[in-house]
Formats: sequence, C-alpha cells, structure tokens
Amino acid sequence: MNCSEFKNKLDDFVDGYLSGGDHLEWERHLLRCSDCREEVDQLRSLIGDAARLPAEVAPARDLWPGIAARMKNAAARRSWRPIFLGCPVAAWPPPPPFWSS
Amino acid sequence: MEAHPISWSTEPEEELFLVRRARRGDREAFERLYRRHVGRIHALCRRMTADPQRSEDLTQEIFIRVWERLGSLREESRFIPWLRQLAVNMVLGERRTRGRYLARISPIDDLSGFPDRTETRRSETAPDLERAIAGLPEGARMVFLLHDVEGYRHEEIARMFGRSTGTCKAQLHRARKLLREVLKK
Repeated sequence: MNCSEFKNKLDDFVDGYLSGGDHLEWERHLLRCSDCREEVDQLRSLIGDAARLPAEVAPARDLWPGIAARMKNAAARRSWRPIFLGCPVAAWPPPPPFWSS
Repeated sequence: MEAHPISWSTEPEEELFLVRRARRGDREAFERLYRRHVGRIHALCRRMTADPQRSEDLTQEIFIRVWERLGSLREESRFIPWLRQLAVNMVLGERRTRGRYLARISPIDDLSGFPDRTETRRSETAPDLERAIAGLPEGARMVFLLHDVEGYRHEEIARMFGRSTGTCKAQLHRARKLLREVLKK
C-alpha cells in the first residue's frame, strides 16, 4: 500500500465505508506516513466544521404572510370541489356562496 | 435516512400536537410548525441553491406543499424526517426543472468561480466555510451538503439524483478537495 493508493481511498476511509480489514490496513499505513496523517486530519476537520454549521438560517424576510395567502387561496379553490372528489378537511367549511352576501 | 450531523431539536409531544392540529386544518398550529422549522428548511435551501432569492422562494413553496400534503403523512411522529425529505426533493426538483442535472455539471478544477468575500453574506460561526461551499460547482455542492451536512449516505443520494454511488462519491471527493484548497488560502 502506498500514499497514492491511500489518497484514492481517503474519503471512504474517513467516512467509514471501508471494510474492517481494509480499514486496519490503512490505519497501519497512517502510523508510518505523516503526509497521509495530515491529509486525514485536514479532511476530518473539514467534515467536523461542516457538521457544526449553524442548523438554522433565518430568511431575510418573513415568508409567512405569502404562505398564509396562498393557503387561503388554495382552500377557497378547493372548497368548491364536490366532496366526493376529496374535499380536504382544511377547506371545510366552505365560504358562503356569493349570492348570500 | 435517520442519522444526520445537524440535529433537529424539538419537543416531540408539542410537535405531535401541532402536527395533528395542522392535519385537521388548524392554520395557527401550522404557523407554529412553520416558525419552528423555517430556519432549518431555509438553511437547507440557502446552502443547496447558494442563491438568497431562490432559497426564499423555495422555502415558501416547500411550506405550501407541506400544508397541501400533510394529509398524506402516514406517521405523525415522523413529521420531521418527512418534512426534510420533502424539502430535499423539492430543491432537487427545482434544480431539474432549471435544466441542471448533476452529470452535466462540468468538473471545475480551478477556483476562479469562488465569489469574493464581500459577495456572500457571512454567517457568524463559519463564514469561510459557508462562502467556500457557496462557491462550489452545483452538483458537488449538493452532494457535499447532503452527505456531510445533512448526513445522507451515498446510496440515498444516488437514488435522489438517479445516479450511481460512484458518481456521488466522485462529486463528494471533488467538493472536499476544492474546499480544503480554498480554506487553506
């Protein structure tokens, strides 16, 4: 096993996709090779940083008013479908007929 | 598709209550679900698209779809994985409709496409990494985010893209290589 072979398997090694035997073999290579150790450390550091990215990023504006308006429109459209076509509970009760206003 | 590095912390009982109410058409409960998860969904969209406007539009579309499809959620206790998968599918679907398929992304071996520091809004904790991810080629960026940030495995990502696991591994390798190069500078 040499460094070039190791670098081809670097991602699989770090991600734990190698079988037990292969993994041990590469562990032994790492004990002997400081260059490959450094590569592994860098890659693990990157993966660790990625996993620690902020879980939430708020949108610059409040999206709810737009969503609520679309929900209302969708409900109004669906409420006029005959119930046997699958009128959703969300759209019930339907708005009053236009002639009642 | 359970394990993922970024956790979705939430109170399960309250979550379940809100999901049940929303499924029955309670808009107030749905708004509370939205407020709970919008940051997480927007983060996913923002990173996957690297485009603030598209990510906000997509976030909005995702929640409208969630409202429309809540009835098809089989297990109310699995709302979060269902929401996450729906969001990922919609981001990928939007990408497909834009005619950008993973295999068509030409490999980029130089870093000239990375935006200048001033072009990308920087987060507080990982500004350089966020910027570097945003500058990756689209296919590599998406695979990196799905694998290293969202915690999907190659087989799952390959299914989402309709590609081989080998293609996904190659994209992940490329992404990581480019990121390490750019972050070393």
